[in-house]
Amino acid sequence: MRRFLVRVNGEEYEVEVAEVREEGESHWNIRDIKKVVPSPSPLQVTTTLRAPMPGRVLAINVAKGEKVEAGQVVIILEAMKMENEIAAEREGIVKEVYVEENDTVDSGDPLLEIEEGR
Amino acid sequence: MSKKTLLELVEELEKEKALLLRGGGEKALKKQHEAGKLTARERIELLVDEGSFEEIDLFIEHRADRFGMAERKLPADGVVTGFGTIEGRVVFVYSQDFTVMGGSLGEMHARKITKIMDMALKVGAPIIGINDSGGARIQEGIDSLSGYGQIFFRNTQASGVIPQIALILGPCAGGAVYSPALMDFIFMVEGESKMFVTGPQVVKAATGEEISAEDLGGATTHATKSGVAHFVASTEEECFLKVRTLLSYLPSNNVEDPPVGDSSDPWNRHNTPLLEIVSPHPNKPYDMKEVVEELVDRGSFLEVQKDFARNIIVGFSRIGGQVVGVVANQPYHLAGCLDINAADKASRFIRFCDCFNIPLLTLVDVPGFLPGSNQELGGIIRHGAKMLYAYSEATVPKITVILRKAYGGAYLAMCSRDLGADLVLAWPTAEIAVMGAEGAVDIIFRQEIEKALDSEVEREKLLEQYRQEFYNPYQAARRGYVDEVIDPRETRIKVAKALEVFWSKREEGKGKKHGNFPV
Repeated sequence: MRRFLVRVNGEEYEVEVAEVREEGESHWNIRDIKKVVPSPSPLQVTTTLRAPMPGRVLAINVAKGEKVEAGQVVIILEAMKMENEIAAEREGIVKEVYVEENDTVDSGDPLLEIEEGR
Repeated sequence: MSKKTLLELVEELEKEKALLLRGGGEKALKKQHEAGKLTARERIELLVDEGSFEEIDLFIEHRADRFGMAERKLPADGVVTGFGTIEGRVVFVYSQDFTVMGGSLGEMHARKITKIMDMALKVGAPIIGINDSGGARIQEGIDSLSGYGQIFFRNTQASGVIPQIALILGPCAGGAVYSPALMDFIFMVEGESKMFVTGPQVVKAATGEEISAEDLGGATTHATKSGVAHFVASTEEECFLKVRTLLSYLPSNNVEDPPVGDSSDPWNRHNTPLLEIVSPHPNKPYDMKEVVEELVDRGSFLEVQKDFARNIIVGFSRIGGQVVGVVANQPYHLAGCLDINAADKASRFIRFCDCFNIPLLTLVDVPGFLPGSNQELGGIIRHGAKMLYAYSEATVPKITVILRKAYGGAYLAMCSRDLGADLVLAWPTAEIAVMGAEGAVDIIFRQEIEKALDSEVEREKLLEQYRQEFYNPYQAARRGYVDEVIDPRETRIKVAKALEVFWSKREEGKGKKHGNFPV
């Protein structure tokens, strides 16, 4: 089973697909589509860290499953002649990393997902 | 001739006043408290110096007679008006009373507000409006609408003459929002203030979109997304303190100078920490707020719109006790690029400072205007022009310090010499150029690079040449665009001296009605 984050007209959906094998052939079935509801107010936790502007991912300082502190720099995004530090807003666990080093990203693209730690 | 004695008449007066001061009555006042809100008069008491408030127009009554209004008594017509002092300086205040018919605005309610505004303008003292109102008093029809119109008109007349401050301490919806919008600063309280032109119900009816009142017009929304709110407080009490702090930086009117504060921080303090804060590598970000706080008198920086367009920092502070308005690029956000919101935020701040004789200190580290279709289609040309206009138009002392990057049009927009900066200082790390090296070299030396045996080596050589030429402040200094290249540790000293020298600068406005500001 795999999960994808799909963006349609600015709305985001989490799509879960599962591989189904029938008579030697395999295809992917959509199991679930969940609309990703953005956090209601920007001061609250934004679980998805996004690229603030178009640029190139210079470094990813964390891996999936790793714990991050609030304010910890998790990604360096090179854009506008600056190594922009993208920091975690709150303490938590890295749930997903959507990019790789050297990827070019557009403004608003998801970089990684952080689940609030307890 | 009255048969009563004077004392008896005074007793009657007191009785009548006591009745009116109860506002909407015990039940309604209790309800206001239960909603976590203070009453209109409690708010004023906390805002102004203790015991300084004089209420006027307590006896005002509405004149509406339709829709059952003839029999309705509305104490003070739902708004408390008067004058008092803050730190001993006169202010005029109005405070809408939600306990009286929801603080709705009718003809006489509006007339009370316009009367107090006229007084403030005559005296040359700030006006502070506390908004807590359901909106227009529908029973009074077009008279109520006219009331709003008269307030808007006065807001505009008073603009640039006296500071106008709006507190949103409850709902402020529909046309009512435009009075605060025309004023200089808007304060909101988390969870309590709501501001929108059309509320959630109307939005739902018209478009089907469901959005909560908080998301549509709460303090957080306006502080972070729309930029409507300049200051946010978590409680009403905190809000009043913030208003008092803000006023400590402002003159009472446009012919006064801003109040000079005490400063225990020596004006000739060296800024040694700046060597640690700012990296000499232009691609390493740093927090410009730390730079500002290091430069100005300790603890004197009051940031305006701090959570909106964070790529630019604006706020009031003091240097050697003297008030100065700071505008600074923030490399921590969007690499410090200028964009639509940053231009809008900075321009309005610059114009406010210019109106009220507050010198401008501009700290530059800007790689350019933010690229992107949403910026171009959103009208960055129109919006960016505001900054050029606001700086060019401003006649207050303008001191510019270039820390690192100052590229292209954004360099010009950040109070360059050519926009009338009185003194331009640059650090040795300053890079003043039309554009960054990579882009420039590829354009200027396209053919040389193509023809070269080894294009990469040639390009690298040319890049180095370009950097040598422009990635320093000396090219600009040789031509006089920069007046002085300074040791970063002496920034505070140099700025303090410049402020002292240019304080006496006087420039008259040009003889025209007004320019056509690119709004």
